[in-house]
This record gives sequence, structure tokens and C-alpha cells, in this order.
Amino acid sequence: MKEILLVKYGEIILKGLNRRRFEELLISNIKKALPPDSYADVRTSQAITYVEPAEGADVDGMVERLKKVFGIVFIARAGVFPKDMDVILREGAEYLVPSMERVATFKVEAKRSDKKFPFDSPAISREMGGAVLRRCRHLKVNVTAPDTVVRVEIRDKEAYVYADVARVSGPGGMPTGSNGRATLLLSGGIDSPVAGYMMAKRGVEINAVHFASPPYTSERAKEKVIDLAKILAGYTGKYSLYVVPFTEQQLAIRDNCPEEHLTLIMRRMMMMIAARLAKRSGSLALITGESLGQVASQTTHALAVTDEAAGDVPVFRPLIGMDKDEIVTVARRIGTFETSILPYEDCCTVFVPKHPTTKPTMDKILKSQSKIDMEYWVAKAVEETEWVVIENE
Amino acid sequence: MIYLDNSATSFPAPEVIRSAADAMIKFPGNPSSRHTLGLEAEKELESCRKRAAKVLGVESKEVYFTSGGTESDNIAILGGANIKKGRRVVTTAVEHPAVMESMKRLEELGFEVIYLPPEKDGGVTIDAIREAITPDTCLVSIMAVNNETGAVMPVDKIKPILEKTAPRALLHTDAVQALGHIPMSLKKWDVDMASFSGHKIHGPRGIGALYVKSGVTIHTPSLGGGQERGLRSGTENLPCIAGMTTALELLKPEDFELMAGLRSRLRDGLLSIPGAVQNGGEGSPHILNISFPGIRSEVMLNALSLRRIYVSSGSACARGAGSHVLKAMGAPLADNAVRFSLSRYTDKTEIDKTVEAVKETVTELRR
Repeated sequence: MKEILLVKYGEIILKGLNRRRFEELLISNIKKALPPDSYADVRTSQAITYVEPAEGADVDGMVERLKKVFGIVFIARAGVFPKDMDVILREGAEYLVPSMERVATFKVEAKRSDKKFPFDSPAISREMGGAVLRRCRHLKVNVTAPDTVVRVEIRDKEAYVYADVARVSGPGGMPTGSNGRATLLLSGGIDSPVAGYMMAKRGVEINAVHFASPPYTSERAKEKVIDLAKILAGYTGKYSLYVVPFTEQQLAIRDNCPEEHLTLIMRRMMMMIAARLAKRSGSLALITGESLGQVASQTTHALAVTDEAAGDVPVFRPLIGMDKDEIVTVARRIGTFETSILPYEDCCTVFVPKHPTTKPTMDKILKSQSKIDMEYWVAKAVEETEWVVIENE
Repeated sequence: MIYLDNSATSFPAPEVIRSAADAMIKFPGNPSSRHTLGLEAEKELESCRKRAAKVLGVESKEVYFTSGGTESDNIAILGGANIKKGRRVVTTAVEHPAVMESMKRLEELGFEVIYLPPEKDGGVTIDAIREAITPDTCLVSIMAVNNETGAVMPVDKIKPILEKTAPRALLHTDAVQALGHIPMSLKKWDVDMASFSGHKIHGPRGIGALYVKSGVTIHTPSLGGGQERGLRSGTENLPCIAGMTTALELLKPEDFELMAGLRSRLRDGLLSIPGAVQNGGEGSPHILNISFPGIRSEVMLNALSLRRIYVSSGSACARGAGSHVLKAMGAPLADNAVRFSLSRYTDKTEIDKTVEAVKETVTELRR
């Protein structure tokens, strides 16, 4: 039984002149997401992308991967038949049986792009409806509010048959790479992977930076971050993870700056380092998992002070207005939650002041920060940064 | 590399690896099979049991092979507690989770479990045990050596109390950390059951033993094909049984003293670090638990790991919930505890290097 995947994409069709570029990007992302030998052809026609599986390909596996490709709204798996009405009716009705077992009513919508096909669309619909009714005795036709629509498409060379009920949802959003590149600050907690996912969903190509503070953070903590990064790569594709050794910097801050400002100065230094790594790697923005009011360093005052350190690099904070349980819901859905909650220290929790400031002012923080040579420590961290290529497994 | 985490697991001795591999090659049959291959495997199994029993100073019919210390504890406790003999079970607050979780199950089943708190040195006194035992007691389970502090418990003095107060009660000891580290005589201790593990004595993992004194009947929770005379079902793990038997035969009392000497050396070196405090007292020669104030266990562990020195944090958990053992002892610096556990393969140079490394690490981390 030959099958084809019909991939329907969403908002990119709205984007006027850019549409063609987006379509090409989506095709390229689809090809990257699938095993190279799994597809025979990927083409777009009339706002639908057709993915033709190679002989013997694992079609279920292909659908699973496509479910993570941003820009895709749904994937329909259709039966492919020769353009012979008898065959389409007989084998098409048989192909639909598993889908139709899940519904009680249906209607048929036929589309004929090959106008030379001897039956017109209403005739095809009528005939197919009859064939399905004969094969599945429990069904009734309902043209106003059917449980599912059966679709028959007569194309140039072949005919496709599927039911809407057998469609699976894609993640929506915009094709990765359609909106520039940004650098995600990835901590290992629940929030930052979700932030990365949300920006990637808007078409941003990401890379990531992680701050490690051995021996205050363990090897296992770093492995955990790499595991999270790999889960994220299932959506974003391959990217670089920059691992910044951050112990000396944290100690310098702890030893020289006022205790209540430790966390904010640390956050500012992280922003400076990340901004510099972003520029080096062609990123146009930073992404953080900050959510307003979640902790002392995420009050409006604190974020204003943190933001300043990123200089001319904009900071995207997609979680800013979300509650923790909303973030957790997304984390569960994208599969990062279980890894995020493994109990290893991250560098943010290594030196926590007893009474952190929640309403810092810029001049006070700058004064506290002047106790250390920020530029020296930032440059040193950037210099010593290592990077790992992250790929979904 | 310096490996001082032998209480977590010890490296298999070369002789052990050879004998396990030999058994895997020579005796591929299932000891329960009726054909020649099965018979050969069964003969080897019984020969191992005899050799193991000899090392343990008991009869071979008193040795049952299990999948490890945990399963031995589960069978002994869940199978040994008998509501018809009494509702009370006496244990300590510092047992291994294999015992602790079995005790929780007994509580769910309606038993009243007494968890004796330890003294400052990590051990429980015989007086405390005596006070806890009532005529309604059906089981006493007290570990011989504590796995975090090395504290040695007075297991050898319990039986006379039971005979006086609760003669039908069974006495079990988790001897996993005692085996190979302190002089042990199951017959003199007069315990009814004792649990052992293979991989803590340079044997393979996934193998252990339960000693059950001849004449003692227990109601095993391990159900199936009735292997190990009905006490522990499941096809016998012959390669590991052979390996563990070899590991048992390699144990030598002289090694206890060697380890004790090294442990003193390590203790003196580490306690010379300002602020360092020992958790527990003189105990088993292979375990030393020390807290370094101001440095969290995990941080010390990571720092030493970067220097390729492998130890354990006093607590099993990475964050939050600390060690139940140190907590029960009321140790003030439980979050700073580090466990060093030695083996007969540890040498003086390693001890001295470790002391140096810890000193340097403490200086760096406290700067």
C-alpha cells in the first residue's frame, strides 16, 4: 500500500511576498528533520507540501518527526491510488476503514486538479460516499456537521484518499530560520528550555549558552543540561551549546560585592558574556526563561537592571507573563519537564544571598559591580568557553 | 585514580572475574534441568554453597543465594515477621533503605516497629535494645555495621535477651558492611538470619546471600519456581554465585588490621584540617565519615572527583533531604559530611595523596 504525507502549513501563507521563501525553508526543514533515505520527494503545490515516503520507509516514524517541525499545522496520511475510478472506490474505501471506525457520520469532498479525469468533483464525491457506506455499515452521511470529512484528490498522476480524522497536529508556528538567530541562556531548570522552544516556534534559529561552576555544580548537572538541549534539538534542529566556566567569576563576585546584590551582578555578568557569545555566533538577540516575579531577580526592577547589561542586544523573554503551572504544562508537552526536575545544582543556586534586593536601582548596582573588573572577568569567560554540537538522537 | 567509595561498590577482584567467567563457560545449564548439563550446574552450585558456608562458619544448608543485600533483607524481614508470635518489631533508625522500606511495609501490615535512635557515635547500645524488646516482639533486625558511619552494633549480645524475654522472636542482622571488615561469627552471635552482598567484598553485583539458621522457618515473599529450597525463587545466578564464593574465600582477617591502620592514618590527616569533625566513632575499619564545615558534601565530592579521587557524600541525596543516618545521630554538620570507604586494595600512598588533596580543596573552597 503506497502512502503519501500531506503537510499543511499555517500562517506562512499570509506573509505575501515572503511566502515562497518560507515555503522553501519549510521544505528544507522537513528534509532536515527526516532521515535522509526516508523520503523520495518533498514538493509544494497549492499551499500543501507533499512528502512522498521512500519504498519501505517507516512512515509512523516520519510522522512523529514532522510533528515537531515548526510551521506545520497538521500532517495527513493519505492512500495513493492509480487514476482509475473503480480502483479508487474499491481500494480507497478499504483504506479508510481504520479511520472510519472512529466516527459515526461523514461527508466526502473531492477535488479534481486534472480536469481531463472523466468524473467531475460532485460525481466523485457521490460515488466515494456510496463506496464508503457499502464498506462501513455503521456510517451515515451528514453534509452539515459530519464527524469527519473524507477527501479525494485527483492529481496529475495519482489520486489521494484520506479522512480528516486521521490527521495529526503539528506544532504550528513559523519555520525555523525564518526569523534570524538568537542565543538561549539554558540553565537546566524548567523555564529556559520552554523559552527556547517558544522562540524557536516563532521561526528563530537558536543556539544556547550554559554556565557551569565546578565543583559547585557537578558533572551530572552539565550532562543534564546537554540532555535537555538534545530534547530541544528535536524541534530546533542541530545547534551549538556554549559551556562557559563560571566558577572564578562567581567567587570574585561573592568575595568582593555586597551580598544583597550577588545574584543581580551575576545575572548581569551572564548577560554580558551571553551577548558577546551571541554576537560572535551571528545571533541577533538573547532568550531567557525569566517570568515576572518568579524570584527576587525577576522583579520588574531587577529585570530592568539585568537588561541593561545586554547592551544593544535585545532580550526575548517569552515566559514573562506566564504562571509557573502554565510553563510546566508546556514543559511536559515538549518533553523537557522530567529531565528539568532532576535534582542537581545549577550555578544560579550556588551562592544565594539571604536577603536579595528586589528593588535594585541602576546606580546602586553599578556601584556594587565596580568592586570587580567586570570586563576582565567577562573576557576571561568568553575566552575559556567550550562548545558542544547538540543533535537530537 | 583513587577509589575511596568501596561501601557503595568495590571493584571485582581479578580472581572473582576469572571464576565467574569460568562458570559461565563451563556450566551453561540450568541447575534445575534434569539432563547432564543441569546436573553439572547443580553440582557446581552446591559446591559453591559448601565453600561459602565454610567461610561463613555455618552449614551449607543454611546458605541461600539471593540477588543481593536488598533481596536478602526483604526476604528476612517480610518473611521473618510473624503476627502470630507478636506485633512488635525492633530495629534501628539508621538501617539501610532495604531494611527501612521493609519495615514500612510491616507497619502497613499492622506491626508496631520500634526504630531505636543512635548514640552520638552512630551505634545503638545494648541497653536500648534490651528496653525495646517485649514479650510481644516477633523480630529484631539490627545491622552489624552502619554503611555511613561504620558504627558497629552489639549484634552479638542480643540473643540472650531474646531468649529471656521473647524466645520465639527471630534475630536478623544486615551484615552487608560487616562482611570482610570486622571479625564475624554467625554462630557465636547466634543470629537466626544474616544478609550479605557480593559486590561489597570485591565480588560481582546482582548476587548476595541470606543465612537462615537450620530449624528456623520463614514465610518467604519470593514466589516462583521454588529454587533455593523454596526461599528464593528464580533461576540461580551461577556465574555470580561462583564469583561471590571466590570473593568470600579471598577474605582475610589480616586485611581488617591493614584497613584499620590506613583508616587511622586518613582520620588523623583529615582531622588536622581546621574545623573537620568526625561523624561517628571507632567503628568498622573501612569507613570514615568526616564533615568539613562551610563546604557542602556535594561540592567536596565534585571537587575531589575533578582530581580523580572518588568518595561519597554522607547523604545519598544531591539536594535537600540529607542523610537519615546523620540526622538520627543529631550530627550538626550533616550537610557537610563526606564518606571515605577503604578496601584491602587501598594503600598508604593513596591515603596520603587523599589527605593532601582534601587539604588543598578545603583551602580553595574556603578562600
